[in-house]
Amino acid sequence: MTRWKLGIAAAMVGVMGAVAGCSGDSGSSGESTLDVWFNDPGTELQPVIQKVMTDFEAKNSGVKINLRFVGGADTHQNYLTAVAGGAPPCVAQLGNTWTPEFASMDALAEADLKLDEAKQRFVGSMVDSATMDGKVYGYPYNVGNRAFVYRKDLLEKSGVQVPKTWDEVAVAAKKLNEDNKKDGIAGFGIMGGEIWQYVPLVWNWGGDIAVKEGDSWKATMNSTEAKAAFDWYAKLLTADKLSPPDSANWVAADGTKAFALGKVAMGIYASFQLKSMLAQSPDLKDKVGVVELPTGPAGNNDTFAGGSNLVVFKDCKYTEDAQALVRHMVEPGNVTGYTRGIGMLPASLAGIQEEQTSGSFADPLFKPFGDQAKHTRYVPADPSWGKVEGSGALVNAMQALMGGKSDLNSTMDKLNTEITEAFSK
Amino acid sequence: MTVEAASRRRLQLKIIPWLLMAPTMVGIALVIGYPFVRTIWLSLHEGRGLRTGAWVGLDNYADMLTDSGTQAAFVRTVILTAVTVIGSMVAALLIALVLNSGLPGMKLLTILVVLPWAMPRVSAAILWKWAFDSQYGVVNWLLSSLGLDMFDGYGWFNNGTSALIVVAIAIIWAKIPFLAIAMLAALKSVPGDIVEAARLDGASAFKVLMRIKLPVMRPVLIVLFVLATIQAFQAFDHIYVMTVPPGGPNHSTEILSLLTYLEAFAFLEGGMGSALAMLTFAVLAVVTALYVRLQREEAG
Amino acid sequence: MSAVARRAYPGRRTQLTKRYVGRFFLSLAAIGIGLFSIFPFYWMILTSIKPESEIFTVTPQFWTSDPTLSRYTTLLKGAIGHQLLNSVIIAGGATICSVILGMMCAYALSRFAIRAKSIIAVALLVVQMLPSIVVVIPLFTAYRTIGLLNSYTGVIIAHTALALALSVWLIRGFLAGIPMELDEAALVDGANRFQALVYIIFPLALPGVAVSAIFAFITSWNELLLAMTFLQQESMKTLPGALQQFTSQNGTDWGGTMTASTIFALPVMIFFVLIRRYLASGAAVGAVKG
Repeated sequence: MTRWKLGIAAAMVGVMGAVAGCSGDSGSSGESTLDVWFNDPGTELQPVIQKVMTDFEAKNSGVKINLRFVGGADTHQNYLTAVAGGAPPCVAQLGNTWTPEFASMDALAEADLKLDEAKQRFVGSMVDSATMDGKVYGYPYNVGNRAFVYRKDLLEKSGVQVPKTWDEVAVAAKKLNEDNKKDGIAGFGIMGGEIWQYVPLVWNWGGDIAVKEGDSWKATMNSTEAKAAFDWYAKLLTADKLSPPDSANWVAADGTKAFALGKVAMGIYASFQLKSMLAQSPDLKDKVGVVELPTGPAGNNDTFAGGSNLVVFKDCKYTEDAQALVRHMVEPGNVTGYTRGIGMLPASLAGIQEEQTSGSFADPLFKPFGDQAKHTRYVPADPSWGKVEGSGALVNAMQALMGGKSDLNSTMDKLNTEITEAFSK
Repeated sequence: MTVEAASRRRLQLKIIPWLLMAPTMVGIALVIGYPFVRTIWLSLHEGRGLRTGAWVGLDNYADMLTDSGTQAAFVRTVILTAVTVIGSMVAALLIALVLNSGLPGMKLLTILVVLPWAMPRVSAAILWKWAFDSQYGVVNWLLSSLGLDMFDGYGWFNNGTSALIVVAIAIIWAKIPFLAIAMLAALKSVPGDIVEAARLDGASAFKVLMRIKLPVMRPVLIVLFVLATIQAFQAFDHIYVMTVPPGGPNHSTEILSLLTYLEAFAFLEGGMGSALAMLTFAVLAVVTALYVRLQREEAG
Repeated sequence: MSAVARRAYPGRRTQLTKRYVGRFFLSLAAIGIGLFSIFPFYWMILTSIKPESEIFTVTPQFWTSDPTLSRYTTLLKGAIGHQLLNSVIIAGGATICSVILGMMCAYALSRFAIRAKSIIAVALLVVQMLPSIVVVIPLFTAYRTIGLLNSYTGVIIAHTALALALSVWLIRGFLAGIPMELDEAALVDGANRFQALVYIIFPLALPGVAVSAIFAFITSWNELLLAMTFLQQESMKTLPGALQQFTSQNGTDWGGTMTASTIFALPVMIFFVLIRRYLASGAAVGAVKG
């Protein structure tokens, strides 16, 4: 008799255990494992991130973190595959240009952050990248933007003032080009393959990449302003020959290489690029000056802000713990160890302030990047923006113009159609 | 042998090959079978993001075949494949002959020949890109030092043709080791006494090559040709890494594998991407079938 | 020597000159081949030991007077040793599987009269004709269901599938050069088919097997997409995954990339040096005559 009573008791315990285990949704009771995917910062900085994780584990017993470093050309695909296969990580450091895409796929959980609070705490353009339909889907984590970097010594030698508008840049660059012809120094660093060099000019000229009409985005790259901006940039190469001819397909790597080798007088570079250029050529430190970007005819000098957001994927079984981890990671103290190492800024306004006064951006060479961060915009927050970038349509258009044989109007009209098509799909 | 033993033997002969082939066939069917069928299925649908959309029948195929960009990419792929396969096969044969020549130091040279194969493909492609850099690359420096001034600052990646030349060189360089080593192995299995007899009879090295060595190597050479073609047709890494944007400038270096990738993962057009993958497959299947038919006919 | 031979046989001095001239050009070709093969490899190692300021220079620098091994020490302090081990396990497993299965299948296709022979051979190649990206998502979903994610086995199976078709075709090509008389002779001598395969055929097909082994090893060693997708734990990452850490949205650490690439290439070269001698063990004809 006692044996089957024992049996029933065991079964009841088993059932209770199973039921308790099934309540993985709450996650705050019992063991939980969080898969975290983070962009690989290199062997030297990996311990910094690991420490942030272990600190959290120490404060939250019962939570185990499974940290994985991702990176490289296949990263986007890895995320897509994981989501398609139903096994994405719990927390991820997702690039800001990918966030709308995954948000629209309904793959992300809403962040415990209200829009107005977000706008007060973080850089505006970063919040835009994490917002869809008024709801916030990620915490802005780190941000990096470009500023205007120039060779003080060369400008002094030619008696040129630091340009404040793009037209002044063109004039100054022509003079610098002339004066330094025999050294083969380019007046202005043109990079045809790097869209963030010239697409923001569309904003500076008063245009926009696309405008939202009702529910969808409509491309406006064939507006007069957009055409003027692209034309201006292309002519720097075709008419004024301010850079070597194949700068039409230079990417950031080529542009920074050229500047580091002392072959560029002025250009648009990001904080992390300046960091690596100085590492490559330490003697540049005394010769370089940095200011905010010049303004265009419309009076603004807005540029693109790159960066990433911390997101929680919907398929995560322990959303509460995941959200807690995100809040932990976003604390300025936990961000700066990482951002200082890679030459970027934390995305929180308080964090930027701190970096500019007492941190790595207090140096006069880096301070302007922080100032510029307040003048940044985000691309159309359409999930299809990734397609536009991935297709190379913008680069192809600029290269067509730089080839000197394509007509401005037809090229820009074609570009506009391609973008509109990408958006509508 | 008794009648029973004979029929048991015949049964054995029938079963054994299938037993031997079973693990391979099952393994490949499992790994590739389902994805293959699914790709065909996807290609007949509209794909949005990661979801399969509406049935569109052969629309994807029609769009793909009538699109001028795809047509141009197809032609380019065929030309690039032909150039790289022929170039690497010929170079590999010459290298294999040198390696087999008995010159001192050939053991070392064999190891050097394999070096390109040992390097990570993407790093190797980047090194070639640097070598052909317009301002700071080794090639332009060498060529202009030799007096060819037109190469001073020449932008190899500025236009499609010269960019494809660089890509072809990089691909051939990467393909040679495998082909050369396989050919070397085949050369070494040419019976030595027949070669010696021919030499004694006064045959020149060239005659020996054409009449004796190549015919013996024939099965291996055909296999290598087919494999090289299949790989070359799908070459992706080099174009992706070396051109800006991948397939540029301005679409002038786009090849089929790149378009497949872009459709599937940049545009998230699963349907079209699958259709392109099926196009690649169809072409390669036809090519392989032709080779097999060729081999069977020649063998008599 | 026959009269015919005496006519066709040039004088000794001409022969010697011919030989020396031939050797000269051969040596020239050998040097050219060596340089062509080694140059990028040399540049890779050079970059990995160059100080940061010398990696990109206006005129190419073929040497550095200030070499640094710091990148290697940094990297080796990290997880790369573990990642190397993962790669060795997976590549080793894939190589062994491809060679054994390939051998069996090639033997069956070349030695037995099967009507569907050609169709099967071509069907095997289908694997090679589909890009990995097509395979990734379906296989991921399947592996997830079966529970093969985060396991060496899962990746080994996938990698074997990638290399298997080529192994079969290549070994079959080499088997074609081994006369069937040898099989018959062995069978007449009392061996069964298995013994014939292992003791007679396999040693003669060794060059083909060796080439297949190297191919399978390098294919698996280089493979990035499937390994990254199926191995989601950081501790199971393979070398190609480790190579990715130097490229980020902030630019690329070229010195680091080349350092990791050098570490990547070394085990492959070691494997090749070990296998090299098996490439030359062909020449079946003697066995028939004797």
